[in-house]
Amino acid sequence: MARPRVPFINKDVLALLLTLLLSILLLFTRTSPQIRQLKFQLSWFASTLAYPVTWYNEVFTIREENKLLKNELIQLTLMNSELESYHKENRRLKEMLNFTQDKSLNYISANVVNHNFGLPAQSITIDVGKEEGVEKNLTVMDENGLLGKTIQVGDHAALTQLITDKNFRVSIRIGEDRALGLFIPTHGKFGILEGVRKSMPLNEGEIAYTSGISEIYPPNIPVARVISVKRDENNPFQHVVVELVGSLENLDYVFVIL
Amino acid sequence: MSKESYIQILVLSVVILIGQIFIPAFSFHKLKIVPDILIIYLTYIGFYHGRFYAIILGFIFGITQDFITQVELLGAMAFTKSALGFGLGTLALYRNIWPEHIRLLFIFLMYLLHFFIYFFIKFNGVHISIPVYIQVIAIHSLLSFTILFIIDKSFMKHGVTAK
Repeated sequence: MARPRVPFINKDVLALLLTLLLSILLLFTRTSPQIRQLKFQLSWFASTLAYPVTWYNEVFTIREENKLLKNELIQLTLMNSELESYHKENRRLKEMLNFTQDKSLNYISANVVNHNFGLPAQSITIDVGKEEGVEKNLTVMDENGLLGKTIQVGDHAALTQLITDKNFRVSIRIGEDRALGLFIPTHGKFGILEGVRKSMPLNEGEIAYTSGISEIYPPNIPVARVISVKRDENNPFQHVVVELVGSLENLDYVFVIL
Repeated sequence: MSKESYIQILVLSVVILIGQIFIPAFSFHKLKIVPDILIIYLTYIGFYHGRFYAIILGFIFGITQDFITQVELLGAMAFTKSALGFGLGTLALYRNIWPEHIRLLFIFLMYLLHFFIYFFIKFNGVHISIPVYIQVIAIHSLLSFTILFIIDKSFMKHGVTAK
């Protein structure tokens, strides 16, 4: 006689899982403060749980990274000595022109624990918050350049609006004349610079830096690299297409400027 | 379950859902306290018909309550009531094993857990003291439990308080 088949998944458990999953999906589509806070807490909890795995994976990549960094260090040491002399010269020239000294930047590093590359809002969640001294509207960058700003801060997590978000704007300076402009993202890692006057010479490959005019972003953080420049007879401004210098692919670590 | 039972459950569910809307609320520390009769009905569904029906009905009750009272937290009640349905459905499995006091204790703990999760979501990020939070959970649970106890003792022949 054939043995009765035992169902692999219990009907009750399946119903529970489905209803809970549906409820969670509905809950996380909400944008109320309670749900945002809940998302922060869950992100923080998940990153805490995943820490041993992350640490384990990191150990294996550190040796390789160390080798690369040593090579980079040698190159940078050589470059640094050159820059040191430029710095001294620059300081002397600034003193001659009575320029005030720029403040050095204080920053903390953070892990990216959640990505949201939806359209049009693009954001990431990082594992530092109020407890670590992070506030709203702080600059977030990687080693290459600007990535965004914090827009909501929890105790141990912060939501960061990415530079690729449709609503993101940042004032920049570019070129030898340090002309002012406005960076506006368009699609992917590309954007345009608005308000760069036509008379200013501008070449492909030039870097746009934050202007320091806004209270959010400190000056001289690389924002984007020029990839094409068009001048129109009827327009007083140049049409400048740029590519972001900050690396948005494989976003694992970022720095928050305090 | 027979067709008549389905219709009976459906009609009673609608009546109780409408009843829940008109239940008067009272204030405690500027917080609204409303007795939840849906979980009492869910207790009986779990007790007589088991987990599956209690989960499905709990989800439907929860999502309806969310739509009516708190769209900004849509899914919160559905989540807690589905989980509560699963918990209360356990009563059907142990109907003849657990004595009355164990059954009642289990139901009360389920109510406490349900309100604990719900108010954890609702008060998340809201500045509220822990004693008030605990009191709100306890009042809601006690209120629902007392109503269940009175209904069961007064009207139910083979209810959750039956020996």
